[in-house]
Amino acid sequence: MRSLFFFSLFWLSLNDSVKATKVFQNLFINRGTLTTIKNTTFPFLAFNATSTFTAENVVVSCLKNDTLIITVTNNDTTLHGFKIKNYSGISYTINPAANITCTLFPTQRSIYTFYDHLAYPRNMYMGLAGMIAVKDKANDKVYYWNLKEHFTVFNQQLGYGLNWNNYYPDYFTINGKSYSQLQLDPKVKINNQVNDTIYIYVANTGQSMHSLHFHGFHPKAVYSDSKLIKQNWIKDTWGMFSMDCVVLRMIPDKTGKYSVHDHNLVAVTGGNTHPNGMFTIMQINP
Amino acid sequence: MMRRRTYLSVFFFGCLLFSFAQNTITYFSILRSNAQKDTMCDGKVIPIFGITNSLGAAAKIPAKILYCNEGDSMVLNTKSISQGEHHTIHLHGLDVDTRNDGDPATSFWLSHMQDTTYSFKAKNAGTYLYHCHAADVIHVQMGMYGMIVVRAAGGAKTAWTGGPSFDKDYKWLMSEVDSVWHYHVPVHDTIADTVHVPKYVPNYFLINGKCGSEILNDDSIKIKGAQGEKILMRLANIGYLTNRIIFPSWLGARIIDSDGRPLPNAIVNDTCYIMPGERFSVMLQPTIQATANVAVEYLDMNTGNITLTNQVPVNINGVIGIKEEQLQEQLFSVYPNPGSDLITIKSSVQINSSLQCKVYNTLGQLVLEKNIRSGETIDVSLLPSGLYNIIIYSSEVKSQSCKLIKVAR
Repeated sequence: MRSLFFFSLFWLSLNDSVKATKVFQNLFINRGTLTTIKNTTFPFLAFNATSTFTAENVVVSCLKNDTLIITVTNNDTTLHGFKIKNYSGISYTINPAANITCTLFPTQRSIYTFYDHLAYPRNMYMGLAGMIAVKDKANDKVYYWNLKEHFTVFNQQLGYGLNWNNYYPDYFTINGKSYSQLQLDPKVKINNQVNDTIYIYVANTGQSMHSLHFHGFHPKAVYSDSKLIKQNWIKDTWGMFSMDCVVLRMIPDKTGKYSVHDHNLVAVTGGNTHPNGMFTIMQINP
Repeated sequence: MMRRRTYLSVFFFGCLLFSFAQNTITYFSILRSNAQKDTMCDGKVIPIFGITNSLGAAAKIPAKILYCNEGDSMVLNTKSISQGEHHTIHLHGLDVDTRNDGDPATSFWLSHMQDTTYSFKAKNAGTYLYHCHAADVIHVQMGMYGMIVVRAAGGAKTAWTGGPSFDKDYKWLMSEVDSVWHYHVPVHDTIADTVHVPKYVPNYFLINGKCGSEILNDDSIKIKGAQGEKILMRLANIGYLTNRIIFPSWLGARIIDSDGRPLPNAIVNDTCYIMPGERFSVMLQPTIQATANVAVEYLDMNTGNITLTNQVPVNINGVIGIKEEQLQEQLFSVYPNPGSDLITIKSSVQINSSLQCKVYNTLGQLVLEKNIRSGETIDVSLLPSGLYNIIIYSSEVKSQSCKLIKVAR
């Protein structure tokens, strides 16, 4: 009996060390166009997992205590940068067709935003900002929401010669999509059961403030990197400044459909039409 | 006989407790978009939508505050007099089920002359909102919103059940009005449930529906109190801009809860940001008698620029509260007092964390700030001679104000 106990301990410790693996992630800086909910288009840049452009920045995901090795290739024709917020020592410039490699050792459930810091905030505004989501366990039920907003006129000028005092976005996206496209994105649309433990990784990589209101529930922040740290706060409406990140834990106690939306209700529009903006509907099943 | 009487007493006492715990508060809510008007602070009359408590009442921005106690049930008997519009009541932050959520994207809306009942059980004391969620970007702007205050169980004057006590509370609901939207109300396509939204350029910046000079004369907004009095500020934002509230430092502002839940630790901060839909409770405890203003700023959420600042008068007069408190609790001693250079601040109970000490002159200006441990000293030698207030903040015990007489060496 005792040997079985010690064997179990040994197996568990082995299992734990197996979890701490090396994770490799390729990022490509790609240039393309974002197609809005109203089928208009404008120039956009994104960090993608391959050299093919999509308007959605890839979510880099790993477990705590993993070794994360990221290679960033500049697939564009101009100079770009790569920086990770709150992780010292990672700040690079990358020439066209060149690449860099960096290594991270995340130790807790958290979010690190990576972005192009050159010509700040122009390159970031044009799309180059995404998140590294560090999970606690491989089987965590997780969602990833990368919030951005877009002002067509600014994108058409490729971010040059802008007066940010005139910034008035006309599209609001999560992972590059707006309502009702968001209902088809499994990384955004929460579809779970009562009493599930759900983690929502939220990064505001736009320039505006956003205020996410959850109907029906008060999620708890299990990680926060905002100026006013909101760790362990329990709220139904989460005000987020530009570059704020929060990991929310929600354990739904009832079934039904519940909206989540920006409570700056102008941000629930797209191309001036409501409700084409930052708005999704959760489905909680028995 | 005696035993029967005891049983009866227990039964009746139990019934009494049950009736306290199970109060049902009923309100009538009329959702109106029929020829309602409100007058702004410059005398201009604008068309509005609104929520009233009776058929005869005229709509105002905002709707009336609804009250109940933690543990109560609230019932809203609701009727729509909408003349073609559709309306709902969303119980913002009250964590109701889909049926009672008032969100037409997941539930139902009311057409003209339809009625329904919304209800919820108030599980957590705090500050909440109610507003129309049909074409909400327009209907909220038109004025269909109000505040819900859930008091602590039994109506206790505490921020939440078992939470910090207060002597008085103020309710501030911030919002804005873009009068162009009111004069030319965007049409809600009720088949597609879409609405075309014009550019938002607010020109009235409201607290409880008041703006400009109205704020200076409104007793529900301007703060009056005494030194040491505990004043709970219930702050909510239902506009489309971010509010930044800046309190004079001598009000000793501490942010203690948000969205109907206590914060894990109170935050000592003179500045509170409130984005749309958020609510915060800030406990004030004035450390001196003075008059000043609280700045209520309206920040553009895209540029971060200040669009407008409302100044709310604060008048702190009298010292009733602090005298009582100092008699009850002498947690900290300051010596030597009068003092000339190094003064020691020591607590009468063991406090492990650091103490934040803020020294104010008689004008309420912060003249010195230092974090120390209990028993350590502060150098006041550079301060001019005179009377000073030292506010000592600790995460483990209540903050305390101590007088210091600074003398020349």
